[in-house]
Amino acid sequence: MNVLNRLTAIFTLQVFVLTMLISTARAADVNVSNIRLFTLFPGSHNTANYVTTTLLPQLIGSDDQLRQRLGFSSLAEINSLVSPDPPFAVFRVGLSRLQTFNSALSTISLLLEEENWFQFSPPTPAVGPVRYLFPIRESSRPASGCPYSSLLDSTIPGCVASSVQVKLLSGTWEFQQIGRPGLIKKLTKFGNGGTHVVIWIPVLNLYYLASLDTSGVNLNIKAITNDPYVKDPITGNQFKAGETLTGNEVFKQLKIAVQSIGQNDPPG
Amino acid sequence: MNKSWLFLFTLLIPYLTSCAQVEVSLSGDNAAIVDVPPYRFNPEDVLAATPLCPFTSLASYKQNTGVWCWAASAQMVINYLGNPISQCYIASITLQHTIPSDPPGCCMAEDSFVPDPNPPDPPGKILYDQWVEDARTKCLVRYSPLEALRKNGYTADTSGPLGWEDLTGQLCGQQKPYVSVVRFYDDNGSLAGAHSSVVGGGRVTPNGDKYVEVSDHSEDDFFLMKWEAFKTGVPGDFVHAYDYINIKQLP
Repeated sequence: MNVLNRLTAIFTLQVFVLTMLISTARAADVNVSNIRLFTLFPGSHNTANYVTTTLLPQLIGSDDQLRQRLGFSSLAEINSLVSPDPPFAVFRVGLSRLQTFNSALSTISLLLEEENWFQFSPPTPAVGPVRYLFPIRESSRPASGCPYSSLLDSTIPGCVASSVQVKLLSGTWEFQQIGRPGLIKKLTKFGNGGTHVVIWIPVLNLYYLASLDTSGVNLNIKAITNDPYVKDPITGNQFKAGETLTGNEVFKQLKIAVQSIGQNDPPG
Repeated sequence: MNKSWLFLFTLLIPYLTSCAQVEVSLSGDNAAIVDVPPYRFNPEDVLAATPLCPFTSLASYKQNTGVWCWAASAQMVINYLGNPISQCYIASITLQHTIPSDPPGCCMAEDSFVPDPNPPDPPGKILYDQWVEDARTKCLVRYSPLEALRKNGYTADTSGPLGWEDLTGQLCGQQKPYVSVVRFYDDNGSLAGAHSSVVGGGRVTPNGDKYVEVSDHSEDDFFLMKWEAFKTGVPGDFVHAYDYINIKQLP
């Protein structure tokens, strides 16, 4: 009985600690020295793989209209989809952080919202991204090349067609949106998840690519569409798809753009 | 003593093994991904999901300015209901900015609009530049999709996030898409804006999982999402606030 009690205690303790191994990061854990921008938790890829190889064929079936809206070129491709590209970590930048952006601080500080991170395994202080966007490829490539070329086409076979976003929720990697062909084709045209992360600004329905500059604490921002809010400070021209500006410049101008947005404003 | 060591060892086994899993990193161009061999269905064995009632002509529309999700949502539904009007027309009517400029009203505020550097006379450069300025001032605003529908001749009811039966009733019973509004919250808990999208379809997998088809007005964008997640929202991402349903043209 004594042994049984002890084993029960061990088991209970293990379950408790294991549930703590992956947990939402606390504010105190999320600081510039702890974050791992390009660190991937394996479970996220398993989830993306399930969506790519199992769920999408089920969802699409023989529905050619849905196939087209999800970005795939033909029904024949649906049963051989793959997701070999490095995924993009996706970071949300909320309204209040943007409205109070301080250009004297490092631009990576804008990503330090708790909701963007999970803690790997206490007491390890490292925190990793909580959202990943996985490109989904059709495995065959036409002789004429991919209809939408991506930066990694020279090293990864097939063509980027669609995507799946996964998020860590209550210790489990769950898939969220499946599709978004327009977004993923723009992201992979100008960047890849091995060197770029995605900045999501929900209040403006905007996405950017970001990479670390040589300082390691500041971001360079690349536009994926012609930007309605930001101009190149030197030329005065619109910030165009594929162009890069410092994070400081982009966020300074976005701060002005969102300054008049109220918390209770209607949709936009 | 030996029992104590055995006890400690037993306690530590799971953590030692699990720690080995998480230290996988992507670094620069040497990115490496932990992959598992994909398990593939034989195409003939795939049990396809059942579409609820697919719309044959529901086109997705991107929002033509950074703040016109409401106009894009209204445009998608109004066009589906048989009235092919443009997004900037909807915005002009809604915002009562219908000056007879060329292009008219709010169309001069669209992201894709490039002002003519040498406009003809009339209207002349001064008046033309004033039109452009007025359009940007008066039209680049956030607004209620419900008001956009009403001011363009349609009615709708406001509802909380639809349950599956009500969703099916909209999409299949009425054969109509509906408008959905989500809210964002900052990490300090404060409201941080809202966004509208259009729900235009759904499907159920053989094991009973339910999915919705959503157009959120990003450029060329469309996605599927588990209905349960869409109905409530995703913690840390968005909260599903309400829906505009039973949309129909005023008599």
